[in-house]
Amino acid sequence: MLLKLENVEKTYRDFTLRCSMEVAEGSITGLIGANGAGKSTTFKALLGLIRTDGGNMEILGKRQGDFTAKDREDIGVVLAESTFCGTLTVKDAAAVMENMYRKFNRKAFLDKCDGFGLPLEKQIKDFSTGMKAKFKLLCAMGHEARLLVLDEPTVGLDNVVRSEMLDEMRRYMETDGRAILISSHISSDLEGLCDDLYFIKNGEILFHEDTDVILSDYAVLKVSRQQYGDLDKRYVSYRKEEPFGYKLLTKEKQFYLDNYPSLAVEKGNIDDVMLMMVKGEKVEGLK
Amino acid sequence: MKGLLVKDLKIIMQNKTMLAVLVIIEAVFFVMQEADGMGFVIAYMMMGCGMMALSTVTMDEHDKSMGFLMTMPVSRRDYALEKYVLTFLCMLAGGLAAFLPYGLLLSGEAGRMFTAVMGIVPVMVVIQMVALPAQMKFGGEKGRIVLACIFAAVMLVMIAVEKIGKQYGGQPWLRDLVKEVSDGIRKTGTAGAVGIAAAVCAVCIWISYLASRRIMEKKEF
Repeated sequence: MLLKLENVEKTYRDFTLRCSMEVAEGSITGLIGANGAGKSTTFKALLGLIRTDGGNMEILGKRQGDFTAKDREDIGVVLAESTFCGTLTVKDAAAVMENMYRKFNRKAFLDKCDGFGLPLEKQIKDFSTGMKAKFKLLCAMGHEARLLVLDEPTVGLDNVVRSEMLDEMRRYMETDGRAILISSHISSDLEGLCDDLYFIKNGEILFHEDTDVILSDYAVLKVSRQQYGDLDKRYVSYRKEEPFGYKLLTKEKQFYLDNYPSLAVEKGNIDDVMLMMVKGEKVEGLK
Repeated sequence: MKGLLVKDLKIIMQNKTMLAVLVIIEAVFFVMQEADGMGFVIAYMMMGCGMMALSTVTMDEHDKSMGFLMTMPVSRRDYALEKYVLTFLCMLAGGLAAFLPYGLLLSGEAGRMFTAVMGIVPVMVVIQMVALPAQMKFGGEKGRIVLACIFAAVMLVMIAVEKIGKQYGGQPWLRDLVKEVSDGIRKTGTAGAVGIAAAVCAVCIWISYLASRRIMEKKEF
């Protein structure tokens, strides 16, 4: 495991994070959740930017307490709200990183920035949102880190550039021994990129599943009230009331396809799962 | 720490207007007051350049880049230490830039130059040593307010001391105390005075650095 969080706790006045998760070598793990669910707090906790109230964290095989500043050369980070000081230029940032990271290749970094259309001598504060997002991601990937921790890296990017940046991440993973932990609001990014997903709500991990399983086995059933009454609900995990009856989330799509051919069964995707978990009511165990 | 220094020097160099203002004001005072303005110009340049170093803390806070910096291979202690190194480099650069023209002008008056420098450098160092932890603790706007409050408090204490001195100046015990202290300083000679000033500065720097280090270690981003 390149990253392991065990019962990590952080309490604020009106919010408590209780989080356990793992990121395996060679995998891209997504963290999804609504605004304020605890994604950024989780990232800050694992990066040591906030003090935790309990739990254990291991990064690249080291306990967080033993993880030194030098060890951070092996981590590349995108934070949702911060990057280099806005008065610096891309060239300035390259000069800073050259003096911070032993594996940073200044020429390759500047070539890449240039290739992605970033002006090398313009102040970062004058960049568009999309340009800033590209710059942050290229900085994180510029020093051969083993683990990338990316908090909302594709925010503000148009579809074309987003696709290019996702391809960059895939290329990054072609080298052995690496892993990425990424959060995003854009589920299509995560569906096409992540090997597994954690879903966080109100500071707690509600759900962890392989992306392939979500796409192949999960489904949303649309049932009338009468159909709901007759339904075998053993495999229904969430229920959401709708004008026509209920929407139900299940992990056993095939069971309902085989046994209830007349039901409307929609193939599951990350948006559906997230929406059902946020807006729906947990019905696990109901018969 | 080298990376942090590079970053801050780049930030300072971006602030060309402030650098130009510092140089122009120095030139104006140099031309207008010649040797009489030496103490002021040295103090002004040291303070101005020290403040530019201080402003890099504000910039880090303002753009929320401090959190990002802490994900890079630098420790919180490195960050605090770098701000002190930067401040002294900037003050040294400012002091030298102010001193060199006077050095040429008063090349035969080493004593006069020495007195001017010795009178002002410790004061500037102490001011910066108060300002740095305040800026790290409270950030940009609040930091400036806290700093203004600290200096206002120092002024009040000085006024109070002056008033007490006037009120009790006639008291024999106070006269004796003042005499003893001034005699003591006189006896130590120039080297002693420099030593005392250096020791006071060193203690201030150490206390200030420890405070800044602690502030950074406790900070959450």
